[in-house]
Amino acid sequence: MTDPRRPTRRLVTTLFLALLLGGAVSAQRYTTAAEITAAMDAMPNPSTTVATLRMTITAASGHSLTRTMQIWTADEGRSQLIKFLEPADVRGSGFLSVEQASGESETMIYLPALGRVRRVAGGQEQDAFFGSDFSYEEISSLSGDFGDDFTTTLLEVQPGPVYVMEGTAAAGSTSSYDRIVYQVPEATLIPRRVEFYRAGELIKVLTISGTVTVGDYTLPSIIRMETVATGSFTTIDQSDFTLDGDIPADVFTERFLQR
Amino acid sequence: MLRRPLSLLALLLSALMFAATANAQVNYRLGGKVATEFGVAIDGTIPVAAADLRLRLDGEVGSGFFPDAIFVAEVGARYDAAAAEPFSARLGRAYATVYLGPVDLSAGNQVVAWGSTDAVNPVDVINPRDLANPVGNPSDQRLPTPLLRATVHGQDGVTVDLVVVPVFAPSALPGARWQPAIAMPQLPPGMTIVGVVEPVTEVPAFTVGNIQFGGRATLDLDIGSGADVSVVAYRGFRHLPTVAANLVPTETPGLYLLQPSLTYDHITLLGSDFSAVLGNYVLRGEAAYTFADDPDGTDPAVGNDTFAAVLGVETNIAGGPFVALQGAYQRTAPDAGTDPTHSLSTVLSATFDPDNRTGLDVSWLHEWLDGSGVVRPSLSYSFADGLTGTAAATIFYGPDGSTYGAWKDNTELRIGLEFAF
Repeated sequence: MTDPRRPTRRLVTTLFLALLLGGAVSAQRYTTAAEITAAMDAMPNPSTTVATLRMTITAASGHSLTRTMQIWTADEGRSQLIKFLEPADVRGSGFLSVEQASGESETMIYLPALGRVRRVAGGQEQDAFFGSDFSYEEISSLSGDFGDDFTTTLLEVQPGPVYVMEGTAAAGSTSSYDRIVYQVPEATLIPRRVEFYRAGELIKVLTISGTVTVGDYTLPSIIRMETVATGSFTTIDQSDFTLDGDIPADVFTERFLQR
Repeated sequence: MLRRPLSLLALLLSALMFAATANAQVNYRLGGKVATEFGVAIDGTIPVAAADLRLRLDGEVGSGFFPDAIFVAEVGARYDAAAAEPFSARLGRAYATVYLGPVDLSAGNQVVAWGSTDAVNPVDVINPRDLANPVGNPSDQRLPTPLLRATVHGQDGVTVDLVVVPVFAPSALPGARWQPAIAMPQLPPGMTIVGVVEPVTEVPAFTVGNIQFGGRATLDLDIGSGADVSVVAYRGFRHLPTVAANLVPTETPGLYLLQPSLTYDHITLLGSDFSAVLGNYVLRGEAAYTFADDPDGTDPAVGNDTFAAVLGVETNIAGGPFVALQGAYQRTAPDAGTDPTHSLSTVLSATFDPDNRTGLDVSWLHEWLDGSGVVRPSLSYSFADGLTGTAAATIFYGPDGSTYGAWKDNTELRIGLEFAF
């Protein structure tokens, strides 16, 4: 069983902040990488999110494990709470992360067997996200926001149009990859495929194979990450979205984490 | 055993009825687990050959983000062919919690886990322990006990936790293979011990004077990536007995029988604990002083004052294991005319998940003052959702008669399979 104490770093930066977005669909044709990344950055973010996340982790043998979680986020991802719903042996476990005014994130976990809340340190970027094929670094890249780690160029424009972008590690990059290649349909501005390379070798492939429209937002609903060397892959299926709802601040507290 | 099930049920129902008056929605879920465990010791003993069934009903009253109340009820049955009494049934957690503004009120059979550290918890004194396997997982050893609890969530990161335990419940003692040999007292010339009779156990009665109570106040601090500090006060009893030896005269002058007596000391504990996150490291600590009712050590049947402190650090190594190191010191005041006893130990543990199904753990406890210790590697594997297999070895080492060296023959291997539903 994956130990939920394994810290998650910026989970919401993860699937929701990063991914949830794409609502502002544009018919405009971009001509440079800078225009495309600027358009992706300009997409509106929901202020709060509640969703159910079903993660299926499949080994090369075909055997799979599932984790079902409820996720709450607010303050554009700066406050996040995760509670495990299934399977039964991890049910009730929870994870809370709240970014303080100082910019530091306060992170806690709750394990029913332990009976108390524990403070934990932030995770490492390359750590597996809850035992899956995703690392925190890759989760954060789902929005196409590669920050200062990569310098992006436009490789080609495929029919659609779909922009094929390349990112190469910038000086001072903290990424474990030195090259990424990703495809961005103009219709959604959500990367639909991301290839992660290290020393010229393809390490992982991320695919977004389903989207759903909720209100003004177009959201990725099915996200798949494959580890090329092992053949294992993880699929995240997001559902039951509630966006921009009123989430009381007390949700992001130790008290609610234990309930 | 089923302990006071009717009174607990009444508490549970009254709490639920209270909450139900608001026409609240009730949601519940039934779950549990079945498990089997088998072990073999290095001396050929079979320490465990057991099957477990545990059922759990839990739910909430109310809807929305904050329910009005929650309830939990657990029962368990176990058959262990290696135990002196193979069949046992036990009431687990069985309590209800009502949320009243900033106050959480709970009543019933509960576990209250105070403190911050893991293996050694000086301030974690509310619940008795099941020490049938004294080197088992500490969090699995806590026995739910009937209590009333009020947790007040104040302003500015202050939380106050108040607990009243009306009835004393002792810890379950380790089996015979874990207990030390009876030490014969020094006798004056002409006195001889010719046998040992059944021990006498004095459990504190259910009286007003024996009601146990305590409180813990916690303050969250805006330091680093978060910190907290708590103070604890508790008045109650030790859950482990103090053992004394009484001499019972026989009909023959000069010949005596040795009769152990087990008593539970009335104590007052004052303690503190903290945790702080600094970068990729978490610091944890606990300390407590326990005042017994025999400060001068004049009564050998009453335990003495103790001081215990634990300090630890943990971190998650990038791409590698989660590692924790804790050091613990304990001093026990002496009986009159003897020396105090000391303990200085460390616990080093590492947890690593090489893939999404496999978990590797190893923990090493070493007592530095006598050179003894225990190493416990373990492996877990998830065969399917909720179905987990485990294998763990417990290896004792040290000189004969040392803290853990005395258990060298108990070095063992256990395997288990558990399905949670």
